[in-house]
Amino acid sequence: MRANPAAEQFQRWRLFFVGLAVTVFSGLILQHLYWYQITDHQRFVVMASQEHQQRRPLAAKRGALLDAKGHPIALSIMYDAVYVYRPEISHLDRAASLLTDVLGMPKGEVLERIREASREWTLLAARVPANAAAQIEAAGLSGVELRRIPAREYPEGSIAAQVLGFVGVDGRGLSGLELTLDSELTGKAGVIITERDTTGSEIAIGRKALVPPVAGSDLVLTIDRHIQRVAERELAAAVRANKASGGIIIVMEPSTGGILAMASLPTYSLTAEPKLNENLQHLFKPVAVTDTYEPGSVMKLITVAAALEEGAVTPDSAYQDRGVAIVQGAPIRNWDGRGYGNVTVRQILIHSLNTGAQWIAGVLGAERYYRYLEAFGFGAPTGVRLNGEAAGRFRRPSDPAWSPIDLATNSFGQSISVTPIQTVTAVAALGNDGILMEPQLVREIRGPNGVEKITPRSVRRVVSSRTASTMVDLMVSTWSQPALQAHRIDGYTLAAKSGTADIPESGGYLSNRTYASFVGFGPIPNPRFAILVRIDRPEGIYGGTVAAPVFRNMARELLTYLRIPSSELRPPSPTNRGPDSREL
Amino acid sequence: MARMALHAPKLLPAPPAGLAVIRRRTGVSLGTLASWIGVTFLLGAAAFSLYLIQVSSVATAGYELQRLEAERKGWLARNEQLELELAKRRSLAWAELQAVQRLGMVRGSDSVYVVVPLPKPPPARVGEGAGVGSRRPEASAYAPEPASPEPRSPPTGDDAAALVDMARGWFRRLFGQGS
Repeated sequence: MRANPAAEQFQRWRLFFVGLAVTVFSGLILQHLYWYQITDHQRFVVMASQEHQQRRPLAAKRGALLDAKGHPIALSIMYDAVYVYRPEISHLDRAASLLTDVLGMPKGEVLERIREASREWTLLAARVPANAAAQIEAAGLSGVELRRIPAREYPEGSIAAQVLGFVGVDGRGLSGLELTLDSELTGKAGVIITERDTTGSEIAIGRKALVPPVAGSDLVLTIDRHIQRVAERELAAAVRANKASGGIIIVMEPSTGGILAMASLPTYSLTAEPKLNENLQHLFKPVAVTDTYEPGSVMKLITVAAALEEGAVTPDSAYQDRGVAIVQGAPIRNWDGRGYGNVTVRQILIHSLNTGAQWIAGVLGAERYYRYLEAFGFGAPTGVRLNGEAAGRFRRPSDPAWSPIDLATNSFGQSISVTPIQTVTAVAALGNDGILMEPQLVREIRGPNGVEKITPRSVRRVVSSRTASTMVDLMVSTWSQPALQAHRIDGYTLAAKSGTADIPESGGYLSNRTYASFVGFGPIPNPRFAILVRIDRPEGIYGGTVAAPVFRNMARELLTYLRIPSSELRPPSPTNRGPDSREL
Repeated sequence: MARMALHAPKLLPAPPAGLAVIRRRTGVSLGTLASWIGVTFLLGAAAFSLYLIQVSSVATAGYELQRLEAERKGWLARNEQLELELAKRRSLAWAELQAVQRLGMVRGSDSVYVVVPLPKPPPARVGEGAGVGSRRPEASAYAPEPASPEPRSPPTGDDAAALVDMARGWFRRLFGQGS
């Protein structure tokens, strides 16, 4: 039986249209495939790469600051910090309860922080101990994330705060050595590039690229933790006892310029929270190098050393002291207003005569005097690696405002501004055979490539060995005077000079408020340390009474700590036993 | 007729035309072909399963690796924190705190210097060997006599070394150690 021709025709047309539709849509699909896989291939490769690739920075561990004997005084520890993001937290109460238990925070505070984290990931707790972090990670809470951040710790507590400085939240130095040596301490961050799945987890068999971080260098300082603690303790006691406004103690090794201790008050605490109190900003700078002052009578050492070196005077050169000298119509008086009659240069130093000092400077001459001031390092930064070091200031004959009265007053340390570090460095040169050393705070740099020792740097010879020896002798005479007998240390000889400087204010000077200082070195011979003590605005005002006891205490502690044997003590004879000897 | 009907072979349905063509052209029977297809399918499934097992085990190992890595980092962090605690325990601040609070110690007053004279080196004698115990140091009002003669290198002029030798002699005498 034959099919209906009309039906066959209809079937053929239907088949044709179906085939046409299939062909058209196949063509469209093929065209889109061509677009996506060939024309826009690169764009989708980039999109896919961004979607799958995870680029994570690896923080480099910041280097530690070690004391002269390798004890850590500042080091970085990686802590976990807990961050929260409210939109991703599915079970708020469960998350808050767990975080409360683990972190020990009040639940209300936790809930409030989570609610605040509605727009971005927000810090909930920093410095989370490792065991607590492990518990949070094991809980696997969504919307709660752990991030590792470095924190600076101080095992010795807050010592040498102004010298060490501190770091910011990003781990970069903001003051002190943390700032000036930031490039050595920071190291180099690494990066790890991995592939991640849809949950954000790393695909173990995926492609991976790693640039490992390079840890920062550890720095071995010249600061000794024990000497620093002693200096801070003695300074605090002296400021308290003398009702002073503050003070500075610097201990230096004359032969190397290494700074064994640098204490100052007032200061701030490295371990206090929060550290960055706006009201304490003036304490963050290392005032021993940034703040200038008029040094007073300690400058007479420089005046006499310069005159001896030039042969202008000798230790026995005579001067007739009437108690007052007139320079350009201005009276120069001694500190006690007395006249000492016929005195030698040695006695000028012992009695700290302003009249004698201006006479010596006059004999030396302005040109030579200021040349020696510059040679001893005044008027220029010393090069110690601390931020904001001041150069100090004094008028020179070439300055329009200079007058001979400046020479007179400069000779005994007035009308000239210096920094404490300049003072102790200059005096230490006299104990170092006349060689000025650059102050040094860093002894070694222990980096990933090895250990680099910092060699002590001698700046220049400022006076001859003979002059230095003469100055030591003069300073020993000053230390040995009857007025300072109470401060002597049995069995040891020191060389020192006191200073009492008026404090300038509003075109004049404060009355009854001074910078009382005492500077010297010892033991003699072969000085191992130089010490500057400055007590600011004490009630007692005089360096010999206020600062000398502190100098003595520091020296005695150093003699014991450094195990410096006495070259003067002898075993007492059976008939003449001294108070300090003891039979075994 | 009935016997013939009983013994008449059963008539099988005619195979599809395509399979018949294949069988005619290749000479392979239908059963053999089906067997080959089945075996191929089984082998393919096995290979695919093996691949899946390998990939999943690697993925599982990857997650385990991540977990172990996180655990390792946690231990490293704990080590660092313990090292910090150790550094704090070795600090002078901790020592002073323990001395004052726990042991009731107070800071010492003025230092007392104990003068210890150095023993004089033994005078050299001609013809006498430096045997063990052959010489005793001169008695001193201050230096304690050693318990027994002992070999001692002559003082070289280094005060520190001589002091160490003397201290050793005291300790031996104190604790009864001697040659």
